[in-house]
Amino acid sequence: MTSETPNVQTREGQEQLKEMGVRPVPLPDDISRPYWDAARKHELRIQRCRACSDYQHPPQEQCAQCGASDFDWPQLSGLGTVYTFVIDRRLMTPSFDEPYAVLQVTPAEAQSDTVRITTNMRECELGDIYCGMPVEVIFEDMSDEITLPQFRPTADAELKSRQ
Amino acid sequence: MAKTREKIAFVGCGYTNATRKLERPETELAIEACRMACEDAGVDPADVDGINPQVHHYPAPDTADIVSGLGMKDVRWQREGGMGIEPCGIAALAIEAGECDQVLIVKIMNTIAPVTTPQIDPGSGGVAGPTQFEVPYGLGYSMQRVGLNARAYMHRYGYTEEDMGWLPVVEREHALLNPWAVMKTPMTIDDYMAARYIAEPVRLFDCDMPVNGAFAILMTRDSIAKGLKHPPVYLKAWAASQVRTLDHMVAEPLEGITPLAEELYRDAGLGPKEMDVWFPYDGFSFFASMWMENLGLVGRGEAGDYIKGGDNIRIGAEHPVNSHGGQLSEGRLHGMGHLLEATQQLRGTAGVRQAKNHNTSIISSVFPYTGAAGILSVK
Repeated sequence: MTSETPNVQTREGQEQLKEMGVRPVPLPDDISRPYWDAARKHELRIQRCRACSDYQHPPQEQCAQCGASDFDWPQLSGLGTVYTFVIDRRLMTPSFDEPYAVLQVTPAEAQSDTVRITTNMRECELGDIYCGMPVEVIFEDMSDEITLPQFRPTADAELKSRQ
Repeated sequence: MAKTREKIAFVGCGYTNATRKLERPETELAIEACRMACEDAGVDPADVDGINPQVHHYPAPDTADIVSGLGMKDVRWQREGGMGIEPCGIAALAIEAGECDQVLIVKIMNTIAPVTTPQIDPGSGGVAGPTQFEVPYGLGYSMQRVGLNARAYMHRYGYTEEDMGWLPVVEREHALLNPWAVMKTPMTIDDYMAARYIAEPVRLFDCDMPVNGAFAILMTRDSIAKGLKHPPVYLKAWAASQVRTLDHMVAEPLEGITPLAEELYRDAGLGPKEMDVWFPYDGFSFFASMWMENLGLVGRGEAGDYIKGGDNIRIGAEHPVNSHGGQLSEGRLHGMGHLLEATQQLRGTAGVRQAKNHNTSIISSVFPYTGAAGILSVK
């Protein structure tokens, strides 16, 4: 059977995974588990350093700011702004149909825009996305174990398609 | 640490054509490029006693085949791998330490080299490590990550895609003057804008061109270099940081000049204003703009204004940028094209591409957040 295992190092292998219906899912580990556990409960929680109070995401073993390794995971409002985004038009990731947008969202509570959550955009035309756009979290249950936080424009967002 | 006390020089340049298809065996290409580098320097390959082949695909050509094909008699120093300026620094240290006298560094590229793809378990779809926050959202390729950073940059400093497009356009102009370059057709800013998006805002011509071919450079100590065909071009200093992949979306380019650049200029005893010809690494066009800022060649947020219209970066300018066409238009030689062209420029053998000021050159390799950089000088 090993000869039939797609080689994920190649585009062709990624295409095979797509044909097989494979959908990439996060594998929670000791560092990331609190994030995914919270998402499962439809809560957005990210790492905050108890020593210097800086948020960081993705979570790490140590605080990138002060080096401490003691964190809490406060629940966020789920509001944020689009820091940047890219529209994929021809690459190949299994289960994704181009074109689609990948965004980085800075949570409202973050101390700076170096804190960013990677997400897709929901309930929004691709042409409507802009840097600085206000967004809010929604939760998509992928399975019994995994829920993905996603984002959509808030009512305050300026949408061309709404005008 | 990132310089030698003894002066170590680049003395010979060798090329094969960069092609889109593999036309000849890689070992043959490597031997041809190395032989040309030796001839260019006026050195018998039998007298070269160090070699550093660099490949990015497997199975790699056997170094022993290259050595015997060249007729090297006594290889005392051998190292595989690396890219850009950093392995030149390591070779310089080996020469200074007396492990060898002359080193051939040869980059052998093949278009079968793997691209960065999403790392997904084929059975479960599981994604482990830092990319578990990215791949489930369809973020798994370098072009996408570059697109995220490029858009953030343009938004922050108020540039358009057309402003940033002048770098690939001017590099194409330069490539048309370079017989080794893979791209042979002109490209206007309108052509650039009309090209398809890969990961918007990244277009086709923002990505370097995968090629087959081999490029080689010969390094040796000053006492030998002085007796060779061309004036020596010295590796004045270099600095390298830990090279991370783009797998993990690193924070946006650092604010202000990077620690790497400070170390580089300090060791060279030269400043950014003294750099004549610039070779910022351009695996993606946006990298070159970021490198110019991170090396302090232009101010933070100023690269877009600097490249816009192309007049500041063309061969006739005070500081030509990637006069060989860069990886976007000469071809993806992982920094070796930049190094060879810097050597040609500084010794005054760049022909129609010759810069008017050519005493010093700055070169960078790999990612603008974590790569390496070096300074070359005629003195």
